[in-house]
Amino acid sequence: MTENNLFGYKISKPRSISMDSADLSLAHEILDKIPTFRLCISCGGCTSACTAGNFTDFNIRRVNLMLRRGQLETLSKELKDCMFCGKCYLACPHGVNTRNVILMMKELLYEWEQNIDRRTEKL
Amino acid sequence: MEYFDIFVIPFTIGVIFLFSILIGKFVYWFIQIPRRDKRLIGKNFFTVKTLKSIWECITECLLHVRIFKTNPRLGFMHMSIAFGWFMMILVGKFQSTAATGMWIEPPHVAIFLKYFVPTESYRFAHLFAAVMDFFLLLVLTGIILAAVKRFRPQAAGMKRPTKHTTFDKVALISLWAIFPLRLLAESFTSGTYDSGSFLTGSLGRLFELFLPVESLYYPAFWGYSIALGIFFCAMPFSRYMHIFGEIGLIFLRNWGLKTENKVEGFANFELHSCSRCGMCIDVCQLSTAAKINDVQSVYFLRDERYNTLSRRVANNCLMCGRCEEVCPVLIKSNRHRLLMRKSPFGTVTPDFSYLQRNEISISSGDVAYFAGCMTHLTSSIKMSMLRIFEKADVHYTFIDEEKGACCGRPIMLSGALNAADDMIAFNKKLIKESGAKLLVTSCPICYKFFNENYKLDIPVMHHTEYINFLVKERKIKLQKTAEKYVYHDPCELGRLSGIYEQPRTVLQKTGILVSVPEEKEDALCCGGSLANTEINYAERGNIVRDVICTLSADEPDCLVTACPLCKKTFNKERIIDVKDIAEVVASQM
Amino acid sequence: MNENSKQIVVVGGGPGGLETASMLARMGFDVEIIEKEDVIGGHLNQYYQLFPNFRDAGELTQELKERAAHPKIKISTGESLLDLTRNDGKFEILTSKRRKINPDAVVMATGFDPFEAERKEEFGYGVYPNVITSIELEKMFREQGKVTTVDGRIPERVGIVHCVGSRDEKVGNFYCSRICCICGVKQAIEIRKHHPETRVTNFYMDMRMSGQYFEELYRQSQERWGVYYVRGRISEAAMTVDGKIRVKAEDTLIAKPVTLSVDLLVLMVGIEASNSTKEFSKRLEIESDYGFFRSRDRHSEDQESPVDGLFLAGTAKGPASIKETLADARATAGKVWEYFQNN
Repeated sequence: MTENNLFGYKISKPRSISMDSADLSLAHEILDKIPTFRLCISCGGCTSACTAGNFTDFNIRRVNLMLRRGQLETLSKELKDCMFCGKCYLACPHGVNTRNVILMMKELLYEWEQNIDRRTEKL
Repeated sequence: MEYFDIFVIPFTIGVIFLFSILIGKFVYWFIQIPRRDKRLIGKNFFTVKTLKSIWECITECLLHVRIFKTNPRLGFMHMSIAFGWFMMILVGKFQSTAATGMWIEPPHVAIFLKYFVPTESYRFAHLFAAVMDFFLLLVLTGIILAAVKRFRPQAAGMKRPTKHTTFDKVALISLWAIFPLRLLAESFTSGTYDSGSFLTGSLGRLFELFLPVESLYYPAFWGYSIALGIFFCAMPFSRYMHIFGEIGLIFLRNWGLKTENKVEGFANFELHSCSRCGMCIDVCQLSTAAKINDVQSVYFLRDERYNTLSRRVANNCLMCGRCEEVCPVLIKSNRHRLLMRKSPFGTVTPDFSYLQRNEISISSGDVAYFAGCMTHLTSSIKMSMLRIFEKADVHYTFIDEEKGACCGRPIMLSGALNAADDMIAFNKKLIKESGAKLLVTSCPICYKFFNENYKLDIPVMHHTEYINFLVKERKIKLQKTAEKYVYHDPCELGRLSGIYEQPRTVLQKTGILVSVPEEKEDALCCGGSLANTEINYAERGNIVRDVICTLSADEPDCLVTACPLCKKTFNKERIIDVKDIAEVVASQM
Repeated sequence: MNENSKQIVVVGGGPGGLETASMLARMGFDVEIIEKEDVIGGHLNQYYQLFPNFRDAGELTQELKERAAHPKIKISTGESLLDLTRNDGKFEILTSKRRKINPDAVVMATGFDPFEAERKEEFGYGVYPNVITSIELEKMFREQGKVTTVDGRIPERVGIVHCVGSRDEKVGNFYCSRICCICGVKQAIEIRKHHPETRVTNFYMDMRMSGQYFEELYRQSQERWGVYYVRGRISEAAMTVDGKIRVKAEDTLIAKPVTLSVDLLVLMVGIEASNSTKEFSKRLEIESDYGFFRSRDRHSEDQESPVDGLFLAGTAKGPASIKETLADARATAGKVWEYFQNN
């Protein structure tokens, strides 16, 4: 992504996710609390079954991966779409407790966003 | 001062403390009751409901009939302590009036009457003494049973005892001490004055032979008073609060109150009425099959009451309703669970406004069929229903055939009580557009939600009811085979919606229906419940295995259920053939 | 040692049992094969061609049968084991024909059963007529030499679903059946060979080309036969108004749900322990994984069971290709020989 600054220069954001500096604290908290979350092999069964996916671009598999790569900015917006119907849980071949992952993600992301707001307020 | 000694002070402090707290709490909770409910109380106050409540207080608070019915030994234990103690207070009061000639006097006079009037020197004194001894014996029997139950729960017909808090332990120990101390105090007194009836008198004469009873009875009364004082002080903060909580609960419930959207008012009465008898532990499959022993209603309500509830305990519940079914106090703990499932720190709020932007055209039909999310994963249930519609020549429309939304109950079960509103609006619109006069669902979860939360102007039927209706109307004819079935009641359809007979009527027409002890109100949960977000696959697996083994003990040919989620859950184990009732019907019509 | 005095019973007359018996007979032992079906050959009888070289399965069956037609081999078909016990170094077998046998050693070659596809209801097997298993596709090729839908048409589109009943917690099988990936590739190529107009799409979670020449076959399927691959697990199949089967998956590589309507859906059913395997691992109190026998040691004593004189061959121990099964059978025969050197 590029955007023009005041002087007409283009500042380009990094093209790759730095796994060295990514914030994985949220991911680790969930991985620790819900051990089955570690079992995901990204088969996509969950997203394929997803009821909210009938209407939106909500992709729980991708959300889970983004979390594990520390890419948190867009996640809470995506998670708002989840209907919590439980089809993903039934589709998952590895027994990931998807619904608890979603619940916990929503709670932790909410907290994380509040902290960001507080930080920006201080600035 | 007549009839006073310094040893009554601990007791008196206890009584004053107890009743101040009690009155304070009751008044506070009563104020919390919403105005609408207060009006309801006013309306029902001078009706038979109040008399009914009084009667229920006698049968439940004192005699514990409900516990007695499910577990006679446990019932006897509760009855002997509660009824015995109540009668001791009541008879004791008359006894003290007879002895002192006063109707109104401080409570310690009646309680410690033996100290103040040690001999049977008043009217009916021997009769009073005998009756009081009898009730003391009754209470002591109960205390002994309680002690045995604590250390060997099997003896009281329980699998495991409840684990208690510190307050509970203090209250428990002082409660256990009260009556033996009274026995000793009265026996020593009887020994000294050569009085007393068959229990205290005989014991007194026995003690007199080898103990200096004259110098012992005074310290014993001190001990008795202290034990009472400690118990009364610990009581409002311990489980024994239920003794008074339940009285309030019985009246309010009979007047029509229930826990709605907040834990206040009535909900507080419920919360403080749990005696932690532990009957919910023994029926909870999380305990019996999955070895999870700290989340049952008794612990959940305890943690809720003391504000120590963890996310895990709130969420680790199948909400199958088995505990509510056995609760002798009739506490609706599932409602409390729902209310407590809100994250205390806030969460990302769901937003389903996208549903409004989706235009879906729906064909018209007389009957609207809503398969539900799970049914799309059980193709045979879905196809069987379509075949049944065609066979019965019903003009139907398939509401969620391709682009269906969830009914909304699962997210509601996660504690987001109003999150489902958009889904309700969306599905309602589709159903309305179809012009259908009846809604049929295949999923009991959807059924319950459509039935109770959608406020549709057409009737809702689960397919078990609908098939039964079609058979009755002779729209479909069933062929009976020699297949032997066991029917598994899905929680949401059975216990939570009360549909027990329709599936059985149908199955009796297609084969031989064998009844099992775990059916109807006592049915087990398959373990697949969407209400539990905490349990992992291994724990679920243990429950499933346990249920299938239990239900297939009689070696039926087929385990029949009426829920796609139950069927999917059972599919994990290959012990027995599992079918939905729709499949059975579709293959035999 | 006198081989002639030793009698060995091989339970199961599939490729593993036949090859073990053939080797043992050639070593000089008296062997009896007990096969519950009326014919020997096991599941191999149903197959069309074998991966990775498209060898005719019937030809291999014939070869195995011929090798087993040996004077020291007695074949009892239509007979199953009712009981198997071991007393004082001798085995006691009771068969369904009420026969008692007392062999000196027993080889369990009780094999596998294909996963019952009805249990993965979301794929619609047993509900939608045009959903078949990989084994049924083999039979179709073998019996009619072409692929057809139930109404006899050549399908325009075929979907192949991998990992049906394997790597799936929901049916209680965590393990990989190992042969379905390559079988999917092989069958996709066969369909394309027979019907060049038919489009074949494989839905997979991972492609595990572990055997020799498997990866090359996968490459060939892409390069020469134009087989489509979608990396995503199918979550459900539904029937469309025109009788096609519409499958839903996520194309995980572009992170979007995909749907595809096919005329025929082929399920790559996994390998599960056969009923006899499950029953006897339980009855003999041998530790088992998902009902498969566990050998004494996975490396050095993989043909021996914990019971002295009881040996294990082929898929009774877990998923294996035919090539591996035959190699294992030969190893088992060698281990039996070694056992009698010491006993």
